[in-house]
Amino acid sequence: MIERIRAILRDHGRLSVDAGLLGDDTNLYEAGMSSHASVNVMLALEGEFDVEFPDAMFRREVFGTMGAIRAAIVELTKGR
Amino acid sequence: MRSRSAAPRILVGTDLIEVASVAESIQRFGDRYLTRVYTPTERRYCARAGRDAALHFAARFAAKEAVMKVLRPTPSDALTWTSIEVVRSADGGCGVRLRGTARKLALRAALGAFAISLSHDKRYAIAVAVAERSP
Repeated sequence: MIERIRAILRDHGRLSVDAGLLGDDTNLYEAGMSSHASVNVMLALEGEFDVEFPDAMFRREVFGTMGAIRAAIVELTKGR
Repeated sequence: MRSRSAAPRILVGTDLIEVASVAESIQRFGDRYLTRVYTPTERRYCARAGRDAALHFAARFAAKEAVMKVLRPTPSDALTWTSIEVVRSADGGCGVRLRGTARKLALRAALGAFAISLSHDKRYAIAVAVAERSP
């Protein structure tokens, strides 16, 4: 799952660093992801994993690291 | 000299965005992008600009981000883009309407009404938001 997330960050995150260098806990905002890019990342994740982020997940911390994104997707796909 | 509180009463937020990045999001994600970020009123207003709609959407995104910088949500505050709406005022300027968590954050910070200013050219859109904190 983490590599699919990394690919989306590479395509949509507008990062100032190579997505291949991101660790699970690397702060994506500090790595150059703007708020607008985070919207694109969210929409791309929804398409990739067939999920929809509810309003309650519109939190900076949810999209702050690859690890946090993975945890959110695990939560949204629980029971499948 | 009498010491003063370090907390400013006037809070300011600003944001700059490339119009092309907004146009790209509209092209890639279409209505999914538009409905998650902009209110129906905002979408109707911007759509009237036809081929220049992305300019107006970009200015509104910058305004929402500028307002967020004033509201200063914590990483755990769930704040939707549509809870901050740019509205046209009778004098032709723009104002802000807050709902949900955005409204709660403004109340928590004792902020009064927001003043905003938007501008754009073909490449960039910029917005400034100002609010005063009650003493």
